Amino acid sequence: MRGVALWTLGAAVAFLATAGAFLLLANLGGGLTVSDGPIPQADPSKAQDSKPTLVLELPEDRLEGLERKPGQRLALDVENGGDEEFPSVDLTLDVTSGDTAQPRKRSYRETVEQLAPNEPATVEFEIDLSPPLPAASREAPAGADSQSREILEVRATAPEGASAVKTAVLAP
Amino acid sequence: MLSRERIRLAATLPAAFTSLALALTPMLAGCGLLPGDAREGETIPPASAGTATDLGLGPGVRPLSFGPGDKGSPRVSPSGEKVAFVLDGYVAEKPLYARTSRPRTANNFGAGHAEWLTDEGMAILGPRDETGDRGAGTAPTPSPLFNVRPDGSLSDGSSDVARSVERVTAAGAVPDGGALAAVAVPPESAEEPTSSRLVLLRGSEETARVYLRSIKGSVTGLSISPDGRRAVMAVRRDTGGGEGRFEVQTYQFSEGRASRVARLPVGVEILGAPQWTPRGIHFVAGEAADPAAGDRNPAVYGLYRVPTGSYSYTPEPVPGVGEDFVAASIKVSPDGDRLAVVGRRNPGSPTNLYVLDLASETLEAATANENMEVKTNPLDLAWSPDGRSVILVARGALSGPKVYDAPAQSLSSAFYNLYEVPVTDLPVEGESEG
Repeated sequence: MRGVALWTLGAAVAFLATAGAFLLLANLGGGLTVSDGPIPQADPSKAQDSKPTLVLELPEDRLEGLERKPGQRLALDVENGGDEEFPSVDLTLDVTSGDTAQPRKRSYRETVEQLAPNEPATVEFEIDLSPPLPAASREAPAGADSQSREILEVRATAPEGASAVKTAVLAP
Repeated sequence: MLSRERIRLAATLPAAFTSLALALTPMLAGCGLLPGDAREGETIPPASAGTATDLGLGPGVRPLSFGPGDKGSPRVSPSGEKVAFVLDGYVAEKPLYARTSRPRTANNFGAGHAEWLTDEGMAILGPRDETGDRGAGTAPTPSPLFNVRPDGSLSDGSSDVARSVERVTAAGAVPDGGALAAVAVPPESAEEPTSSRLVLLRGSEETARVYLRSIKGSVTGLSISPDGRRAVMAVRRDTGGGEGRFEVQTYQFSEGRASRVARLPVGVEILGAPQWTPRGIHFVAGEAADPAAGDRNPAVYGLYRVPTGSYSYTPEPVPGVGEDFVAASIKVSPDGDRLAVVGRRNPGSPTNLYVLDLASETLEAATANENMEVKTNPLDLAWSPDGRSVILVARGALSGPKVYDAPAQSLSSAFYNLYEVPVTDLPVEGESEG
């Protein structure tokens, strides 16, 4: 009888010890994932550990003078934050309305040639911010047009893989 | 012989237990997050994960949608697994914590709001006339109600939608599935007063049930009691000359007739749908805004109730909210014990979500609005089926241009988006809170 009790105790201890050890190992691995978060939160415009790096600047005060009409000028700053020269950097600026049912997009593109390490460059875009014609096919909710926010999304990309993004939202 | 068997057993069974432990460990560990989960990038993390930025609504609030678009009328499916909402006039749905949604209607649909009939099927009400809903001087504009079949699919990914009921002025979800619609009955002559009927929809494959006993007046808002036994309605009765007067009526499904429980003074209107609770029928009401005054004299609405058992036609201010409280929208919890209230402590304070405990008559703040525009339309408020959270719609207030370090599609507070606000274990506020 005592042998059975000892055997049961030994088996239980072995089970718990093994399960505990593996759970500890599993949680050590899983814990890193939880703290990292399921959605990448890294700021693409900030410096990363691995080079090359692009830094994009879009100060809010440059947006304050923009009007909802064609021929608006907007200057962006881009800087090579890495150690090696970029032969070229592509800058795209998409002006979109907040209306997803009637999407409207105006795209602009500029290229900066030969951007040396730590060298900044300013690129000026001439953009059309005029409001879209009202869509006749859809019954828009009351006040929807007056609530819409204009979106300016800027992306800088280098052939080496570096990229940066900024989104400006203009209040009505 | 027996002792040898025991020895052999003693030697082998601990090893078997160890093998069992080895087999069970990955299953137990799988309860957490393991590297390589294919859904990681598509799931919204909980607010407590520390990955969410400051949303401006206080701690614990979790965004349920992202990106541009005017979103509204959130509705959680009966199982609590999905949420539907109106996005720029069309209806979209998604798993509750998924980042991306799919359309259920064409993008030019012009939806007012949607209600789940089942976990797959929906009823969608056409666009609502704001002036009709919010003014005592005009009757609500009827809209058609559409049925969204669960298994249908259009080429653009949206579902098969069929027109099911005409001349609907209000609709609300039934707690155990389905939706109730109030239908305006066209008068046979100009002298005849307006009346309405209720239609119960259970699903696209089931026949709608029409309650034949008519309701005097136009139903501007309706909800169903948490026990599913009665509808509570805001009804506008014509008083002649294009003017109207609001009443609160109930409709007992077992008896099949409507009863008036409160009549409001001339010029006072009810916002949204009254809510039935064990402590009485609650509703938001106030003097109708003068359209000529515009924004100079915004209407101030309060929270009122008709206590249970004292249907004396005389509503009273709801105790516990404070006499300066400005109410905008309310929704009773699935268990009927609490009332979600969007409003302001006083006319000068920010709009927040509050939860009124009906038994203790205490009002607790669920959000701490710092700089957000919270939608105050009565349709823009929903409970989760388990009563643990409330969904509202908000966006960050902008006084000028704002620049974000992320693509537009990943932003939440920049645009009107859905937020899940936990409403359990809320701290009771002091009276000094403003």
